[in-house]
Amino acid sequence: MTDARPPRAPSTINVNLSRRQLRDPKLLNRIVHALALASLDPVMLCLEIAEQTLVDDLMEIAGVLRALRDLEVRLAIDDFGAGATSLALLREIPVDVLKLDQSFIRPLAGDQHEDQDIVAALTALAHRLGLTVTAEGIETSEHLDAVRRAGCDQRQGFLLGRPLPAYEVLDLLSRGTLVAAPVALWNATSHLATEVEPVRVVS
Amino acid sequence: MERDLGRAIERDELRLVYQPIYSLTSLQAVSVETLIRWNHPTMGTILSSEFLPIAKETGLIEHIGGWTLQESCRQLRQ
Repeated sequence: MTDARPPRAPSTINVNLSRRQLRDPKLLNRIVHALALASLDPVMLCLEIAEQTLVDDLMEIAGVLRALRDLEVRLAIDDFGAGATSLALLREIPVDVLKLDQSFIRPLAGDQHEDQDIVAALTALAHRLGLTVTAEGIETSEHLDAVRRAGCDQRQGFLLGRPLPAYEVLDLLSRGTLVAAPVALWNATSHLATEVEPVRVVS
Repeated sequence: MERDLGRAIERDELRLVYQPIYSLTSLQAVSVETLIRWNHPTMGTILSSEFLPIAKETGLIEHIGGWTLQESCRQLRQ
């Protein structure tokens, strides 16, 4: 990272939506209100909906999903592959992001090529459909290497990615150097398959 | 626990934390996922996996979900 960047918000703030919230007739109003209060652009909000909820309730929530799209918020399928996975979902639901469940990621520490092939194939399919792919549950350097090779776009997990309070995560997002530091740290410690704490900002 | 959860928001016991999501190409943190913790006065920190099922059963999830949405947007606006 060369020069200082102005502070910036994340490209998206991801918030989980439960089954019950999706059936709440006031959901759209609540979202519009939350965005207005924070002066946030709708594209900065990504609503994560569990694959299982989509599979179970698709008929009931199809209208809500369309309305959310019209609001221009982002939509993600969360925990894809955790349950009764339906590839048809990818065709039927207007989402932006596919979050691959950690059950796909965990076996990547082993030497079974099939596990790697499944992640690569799902990623390729999602890309063909215009989706961004986030690999969940990245806990080791082996996981990280494997999802990078499989072509995933993003990663989430405890490897350099512990949850942080707002002020720390804003700092992380605003400073390129803070991102560079853990990567250097990771390179230096990549032989350790243990969790590494992200660089902390002491206030 | 169920009764305590009903009062957790008013008592300011719920805390939001944010898990960074990194780009595998630019290596930058590009998104965050909002996660919720409950700082219970006697039981300590309770993870969402332990109390959200109760919130879903009792219907408190609508209240907690609405608060989470509003509060995370407010905390992370720039």
